[in-house]
Amino acid sequence: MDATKTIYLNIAGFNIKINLKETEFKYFKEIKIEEIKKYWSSFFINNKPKKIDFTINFVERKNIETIYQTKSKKSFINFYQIKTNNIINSYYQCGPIQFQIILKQVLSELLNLRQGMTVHCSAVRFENKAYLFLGKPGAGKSTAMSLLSKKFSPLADDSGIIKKEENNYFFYQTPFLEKNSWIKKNNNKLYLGKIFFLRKKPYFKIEKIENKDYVIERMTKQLFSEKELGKNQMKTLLRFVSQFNGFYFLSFAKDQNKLIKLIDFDK
Amino acid sequence: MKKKIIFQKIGKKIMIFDSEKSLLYSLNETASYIWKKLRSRWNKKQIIEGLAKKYKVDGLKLEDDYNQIIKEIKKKKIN
Repeated sequence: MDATKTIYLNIAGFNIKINLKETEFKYFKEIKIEEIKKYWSSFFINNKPKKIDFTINFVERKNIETIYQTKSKKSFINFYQIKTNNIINSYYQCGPIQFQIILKQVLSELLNLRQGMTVHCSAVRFENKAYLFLGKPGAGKSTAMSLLSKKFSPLADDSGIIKKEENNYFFYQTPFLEKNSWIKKNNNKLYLGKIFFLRKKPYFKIEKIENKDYVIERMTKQLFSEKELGKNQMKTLLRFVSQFNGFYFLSFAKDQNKLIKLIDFDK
Repeated sequence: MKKKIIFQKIGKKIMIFDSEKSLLYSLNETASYIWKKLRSRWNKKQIIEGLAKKYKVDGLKLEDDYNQIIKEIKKKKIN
């Protein structure tokens, strides 16, 4: 048996400690570290942080519990267990997809407590700010981001984190694997610039949205949520909509230069 | 107030979320005023007088509005 090995991730300003606990199979640890490095290396931090927000333990379990549902002929595997409010145990046998699900759970817990939320959006960097694009599936989130990527660094294709810190709203990249794997991710934060609700039109136009009822209605549909919106999530959303004033409609067509010009002009 | 209810003032309106039913209510300006004053334990007379002063309207004309809004608040259990 060898000792526990620890690595640290920093996601959306939260420090997550990952303990790779004792195992008879030493190479399990190496495999797990390589796996996490492969997909989440840009969220690694080398030095032990002063404060740990959440701990994920990888523990040895020779037999993984499964449940077989006779009626549906489905087999369910137990891949994590919540130990306390800020500790989850998982198992070496679980792969990156399962780890991503755990990260979603962890982030959801942490963001709920700290005025943050994960939204379905694409995003680009505009100077030191993040511009977010929201819309129903097929509204053009990926298209807008791809068209703008010629001039503005892409930040997200499918999801982003909005978080309040010291009276300002910031954007963080999520650690989730997205459609366009070429988007470079890291744990930096950017000021939240503008939020655009997309409209595919044959013309180009930006209009400020004054009707916040509309914003709330649209944003509740864009929140990442495992189940129905909880009390904390809605509280965060309502507070955000009341305090943030950068909501716009963006009507656009597939013309890269015109879209870039419009966004650039609307500083 | 019910424990499962949260509210937020947005501009002149109040949004109320009933997390038990997962329903979001958006109160108009008058309803927001009445709801807010009910929480401050104002009585009917005080609220109607307050509304009349705020909107420079005859208090008698406001009573129907008040009753209607109170009925809705009670029906939706968001008081």
